[in-house]
Parts: sequence; C-alpha cells; structure tokens
Amino acid sequence: MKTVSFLSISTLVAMAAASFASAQTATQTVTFQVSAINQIAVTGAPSLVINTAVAGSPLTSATSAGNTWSVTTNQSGASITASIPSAMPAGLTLSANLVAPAGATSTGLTALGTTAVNVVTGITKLSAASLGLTYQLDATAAAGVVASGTRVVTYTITGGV
Amino acid sequence: MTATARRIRCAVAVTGLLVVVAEAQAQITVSGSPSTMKISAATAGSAPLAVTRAGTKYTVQQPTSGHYTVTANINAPMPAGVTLTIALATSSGASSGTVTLGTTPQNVVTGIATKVTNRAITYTLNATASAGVVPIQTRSVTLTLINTP
Repeated sequence: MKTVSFLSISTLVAMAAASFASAQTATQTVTFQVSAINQIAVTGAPSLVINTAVAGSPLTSATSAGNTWSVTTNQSGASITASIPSAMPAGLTLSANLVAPAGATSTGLTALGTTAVNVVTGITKLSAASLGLTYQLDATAAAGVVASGTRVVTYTITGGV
Repeated sequence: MTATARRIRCAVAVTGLLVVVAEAQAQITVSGSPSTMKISAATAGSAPLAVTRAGTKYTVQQPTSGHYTVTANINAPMPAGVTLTIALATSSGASSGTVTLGTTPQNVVTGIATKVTNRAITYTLNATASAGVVPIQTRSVTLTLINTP
C-alpha cells in the first residue's frame, strides 16, 4: 500500500513538473521572403524652347535642369532605358542625361527615340533619391519653326538579376 | 497511526504538493503563427516597404507571487539586410516596445504581475535594398516566460 502511494505521488510530481516545464515557452513560426523589387520615379515637367542662335552657328540648345529621378532595386545589374512614344520632328533632337547612382554608369546625354535606349546601366542593390536629370533640345536651322509639342518620356528599369 | 490516518496524511501531503506545484505554474501560450510576410514593394529612392503582421495573440496564465518577464528570440540569424522585429502589447507590466529579434533572448515584456489575456503580438519585417532577393524561409520565434521575484 505504501509502495503504491509512493508511486502515485512520484507520478503526480513528474506530471506536474513536466507540465510546469513545458508551460514556460511558446513558439511561433514566422515565414518570410523578399521579392524582386525595381522601382523608378521622376520629378519635373520640363519645358524646352529654342529661340536664339549665335550668328553663323547652329541654333542654341535649350536645357532643362532641376528635374530629378529616384530608384530602388534589390537586384544586380539593372538598367534604365528611356523612350518617347513618337518620333521628334525632323531636325529636332530631344536628349536626356541622368546622373548615375553610386556604382552605376550613366550613358551621358543620350538622344531619345521611339526605341528604348539605355541611359543608366549597372545599378545594383540600392536605393537612391533625387538624382539629377537634365533634358536638352537641339534643332538645326533646317528644322524651321516648329509648333509647340509634347513628348512623354518613359523610363523603364530592367534587366536585374 | 491507523491505516485510515495514514491515508488521510498521505492525501494531505499530496494535496499540499499539488497546491505548491499549481502555485508555481504560470504559462505563456500563443494563438498561432503569423501569415507569410512578403516584402515586394518600394517607393523609388527609399528602402523596400516593411511588412507588418499583428494578427496573433499571447496569453500569460495564472501568474502568482513575484513578477514575470517574457523574452523572445529566434532560432537562427536573419539574412543580411533583413530584420524581424516583435512588439508585445500588455495589460500588466511594461512592454519593451519594438524589439529586433536575434538568437539571444531579449526582454519584450517585463513586470507581469497579473494575468495577461489575448494581447497582440506584432511582427514587422524590414529589408534594405542590399539584402537582395530573399527566398522564402522560416524562423522559429520562442517566447519564454521567466519568473523574476
């Protein structure tokens, strides 16, 4: 009888101890991931007017500074391309120059057309804001007088891995 | 001592033992695990947008004498550039606010003196652009209840 009681007590103590020990922690499983992210944005609404020249020289180019662009990518080797939806009038050239973020390369002042062209390459895993963006409009004398027009410039970030 | 007396004495001893064990028993439970946290967006020029989950709860049952602290840790380090934080709301004691989780336990709630029921656990996942693309993976978060007399 005493032996049975002893075992019962031991069992109870063991059960209680086990319960006490297991009650001290609780666990949760956190599942997470980071997807590929590529974002570009621009600011500014540039207006370019060519209205002067130095006698004997081509028309004086018009430039628009003060625009900016920003980028975030968590991929490597991304590029920025730029294009316009319709060709410029004959004799007119619209160009863009984007300042490259750290570690990337700008193609400098680059003429824009309906086919996308690289303007910045080698962008790798960074976020950079308020980078310089300059537009330039060039015209030959042969272009004549050109009525006001607009072009939407589309920038695309592509090619990262 | 008669057999009946011995049984009574034994029963009293067992009851006392159970009472002692019951008094020492305080436990922390959680309502489940948060849904998958996926960072997939950013504002250009800024770090990727953090993701928050606040849908799970915790309960601290039957705290008795003394005070209790809840610590939290994860079973393995987070990938470079990725941080997981936790914040526990509480109705007793003080929350440590937002705590970045690591493999070393850190206090998330201290001074618990009374029962805490269904209080929110908030997780936030942050990543820098330099973290790159991080494939889906898991971490086990352990909440530990410690008696701090």
